[in-house]
Amino acid sequence: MADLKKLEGSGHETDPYICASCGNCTMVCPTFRLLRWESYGPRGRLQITKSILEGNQELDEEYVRKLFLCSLCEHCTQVCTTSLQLDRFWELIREAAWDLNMVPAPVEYACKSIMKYGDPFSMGSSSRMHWAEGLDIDIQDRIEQPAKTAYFIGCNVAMKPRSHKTAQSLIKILEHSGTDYTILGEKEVCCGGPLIWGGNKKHAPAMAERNIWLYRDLGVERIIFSCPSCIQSWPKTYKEAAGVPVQKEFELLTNSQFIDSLNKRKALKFHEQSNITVTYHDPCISARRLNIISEPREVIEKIPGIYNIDMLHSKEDTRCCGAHGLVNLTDPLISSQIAEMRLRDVSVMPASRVITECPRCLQALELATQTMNYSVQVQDISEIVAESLAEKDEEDDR
Amino acid sequence: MTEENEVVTEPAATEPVSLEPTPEVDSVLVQLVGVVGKENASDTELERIVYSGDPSSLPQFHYRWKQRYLADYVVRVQTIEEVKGVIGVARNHGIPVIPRGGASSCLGSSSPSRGGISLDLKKMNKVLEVDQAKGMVRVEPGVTFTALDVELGKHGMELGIYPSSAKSAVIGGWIGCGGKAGIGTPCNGTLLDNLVSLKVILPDGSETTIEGANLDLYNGSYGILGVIVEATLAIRRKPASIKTLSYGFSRLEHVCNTMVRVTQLEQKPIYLKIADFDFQSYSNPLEKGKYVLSVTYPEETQSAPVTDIEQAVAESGGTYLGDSYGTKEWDLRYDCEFNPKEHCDTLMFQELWVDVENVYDILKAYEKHKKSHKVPSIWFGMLGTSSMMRLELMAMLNPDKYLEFIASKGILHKMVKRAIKQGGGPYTIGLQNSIYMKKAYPERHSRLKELKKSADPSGIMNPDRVTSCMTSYGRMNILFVMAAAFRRLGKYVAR
Ligand SMILES: Cc1cc2nc3c(=O)[nH]c(=O)nc-3n(C[C@H](O)[C@H](O)[C@H](O)COP(=O)(O)OP(=O)(O)OC[C@H]3O[C@@H](n4cnc5c(N)ncnc54)[C@H](O)[C@@H]3O)c2cc1C
Ligand code: SF4
Ligand code: SF4
Repeated sequence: MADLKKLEGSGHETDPYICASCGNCTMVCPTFRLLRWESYGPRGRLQITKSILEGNQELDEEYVRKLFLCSLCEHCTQVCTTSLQLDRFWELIREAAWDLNMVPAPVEYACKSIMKYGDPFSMGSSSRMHWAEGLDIDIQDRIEQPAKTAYFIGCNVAMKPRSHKTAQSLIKILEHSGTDYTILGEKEVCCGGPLIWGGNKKHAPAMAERNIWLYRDLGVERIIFSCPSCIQSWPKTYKEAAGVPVQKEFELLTNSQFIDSLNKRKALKFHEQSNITVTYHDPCISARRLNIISEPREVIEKIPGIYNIDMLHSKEDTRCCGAHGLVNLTDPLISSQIAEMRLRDVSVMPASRVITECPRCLQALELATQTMNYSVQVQDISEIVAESLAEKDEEDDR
Repeated sequence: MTEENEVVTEPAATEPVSLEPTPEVDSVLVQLVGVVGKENASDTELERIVYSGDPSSLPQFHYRWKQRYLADYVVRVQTIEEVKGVIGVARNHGIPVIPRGGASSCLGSSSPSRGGISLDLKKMNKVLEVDQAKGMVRVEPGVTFTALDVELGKHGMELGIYPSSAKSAVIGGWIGCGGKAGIGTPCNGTLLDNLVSLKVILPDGSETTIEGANLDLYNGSYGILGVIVEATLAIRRKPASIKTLSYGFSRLEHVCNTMVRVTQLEQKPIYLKIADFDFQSYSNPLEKGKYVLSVTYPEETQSAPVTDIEQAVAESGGTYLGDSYGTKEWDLRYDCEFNPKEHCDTLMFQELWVDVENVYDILKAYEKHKKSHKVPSIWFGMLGTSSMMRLELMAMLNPDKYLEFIASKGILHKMVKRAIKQGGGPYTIGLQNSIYMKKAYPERHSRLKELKKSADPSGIMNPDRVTSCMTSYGRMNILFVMAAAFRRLGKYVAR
């Protein structure tokens, strides 16, 4: 079928036929769980895709809308009986939709904005350092300074006010641990991930490369990311563009992985907290794609007086916050309703805080606390760590 | 006449369902919208395609004999009143209603054969009552096994029986299929043993409670008698831990004999599986032996009867496969069945319900056919009760190889006939196995037929299943016998 010629040679062309229609993926899919039409779930969408491939159905707007209400959370991939990499399959079909000019308008806007302004919000480079406002540490000297460690802030952290604290906390941790680090300041641009999710994959590598070239000049060897999706898209884009896996050149770490590595070197000192019970929400990409499961738990465990209790659906079986895959742009209401479903999982836990390590999870869950009028504090892992660090004089006393 | 060419003539399509095009599309949809609201009824092609599929991974040509394999409407219901309303619309227009749960039942159980209304019950998903003292739970039909487990877990209880499709099935769908074999059934009893009562909406729109001896007919009635809207089931304490023991055997006879001996032990397992080397290679490959026996016990009341099992295994020359192999077998209990599908276009299968004593005979015959017809066959079995096993015979096919495809159908047909001769029959009935109903389960067939006639005179509930079918046993018998023979002939021609 001409509409889906993207599938040819992708290695995914037979996926709809390999699918055993067992239905495992339907029951875990957040969009199905919310909307309860099987056509929003992966099995249903594969059946429609099959029908399109066989020429019995058009790749029409209704199908594309359903496609863009998928949060690319990879839960279907996780449970698939026939080991289909379904998230990649959905990305390929999104590419077909892009080529046909059929992607939802907000998605198209965000993708074009990334190419024009370097971020999905059309804010431009002059807004890149907004996150540092109010930070009581001077970071001017860090901008574009050669160092082995770099902190990639990412658009959502740099430009969404609620996440500024994430970046500020990470800076505090870097300083506390005496790490020599660099940041790209206004020269940092989007990781390119949203272009992949929007179906405009061909332009994604260029975005990643703009950052990578700068890091190379600064002698960077490892990069810390406050958003796991940025890590996820870098190896993909760069590897595919230049044939060299970016992981071979740089060590790419999320906040929790970096903090965990500091703990292993005993580089952080904490002051005792007053018995706080938290529950850790694994971001889909961290847990399912990057397999970052033990590190955040170990980080939390290391803070005296803070205890983590896992939700029923956690680790690889974590549930999506609804803000990935550009669902938050395609349909903000549906996105926030998925976040509410996740917050319901939190609400049965005896926890006063929910900790995560993804700016979109953080923002989505925090919004859900408002829409559901449910009181729980939502924090990035860097925040709870930074506020538990021992003060300088406390350290000297020890 | 030999068994091979015996022709039993049975009138096709005995139900008086109209084969005329569905009347006045708009008026039906408008009425359905009136019952469930705009957001819960659809006649778009997209939804109709999605709601007409199930795991029968058969190529499209297999469906030609089905007259209208797409639903005309999809309706999602959330209350008993809505179910009654939808049935009312269907009755007024003389169109079929196909109840649908997780649509994980194979063999076309919830796929339409004459268009009609695909009735999605997944939104009726409340756990209505947990009575720990009485050891009972009352649920709506769309409750998932996961949700039920979570809810009962809060009380330290569990249902204790579930199909290996528990990740996708719902409770009403399993009742629809009769739930004879599942994880937990060998020690906790079949679904029927655990059913206390059912609330059913009959085809005339009335509500009835089914209890006692009548449960047997409604359990496993594939939606032909009405829509189950509530079920009360027994619950029990959740075991603290379990232990799985896995053994490899080099001969079929030995794995089957050991399996029979294990089923005869006083302590019954939660889960018992046997499988061949090729089946295992797609999930948990065997390093020792050609066949596997895996058996799981709860560990709290008594520990597993390890000594007795090991004695039986030793006498058959079996080998313990190690703790981690056993743990993996248990972890794979949901997925192993369909893992082979990743490696073929069509995973054709037939599920048999056979006495454990006859398992060896059936498998010996199946393995012989595999060699003689050069069909890529695999198999696995799962204990249902202490004496009956759900035996799944599979063939991994490419539908382009028509002869191989049809020969495999022929071989599976022979296997069903063999099972019937030995007192067993097909496991899932659904659409495709309804041709065997009268031969395999004549008494059940006639009781259901009688009930169907009185309860559903216009035949709107899930037609062409269980009590009648769109083709006859005789016709299929000839086709399959010929197909299997052609394949053998083809071998000589090729030579
Ligand atoms: C991988 C895999 C493993 C399986 N393992 C097992 C197993 O271990 N044991 C086993 O018994 N089966 C097994 N099955 C078969 C099947 O999954 C189960 O029988 C399952 O319980 C069906 O439930 P469902 O919700 O998917 O029902 P569906 O497939 O939706 O429906 C099944 C039948 O019941 C009818 N029905 C559904 N809901 C209602 C209702 N509320 N009222 C009246 N009729 C209704 C439907 O019309 C249909 O005829 C397996 C299937 C797969 C794919
Ligand atoms: S990636 Fe997530 S949202 Fe998308 S189909 Fe799979 S389970 Fe559903
Ligand atoms: S889990 Fe995999 S095999 Fe099963 S229905 Fe979904 S895509 Fe198909």
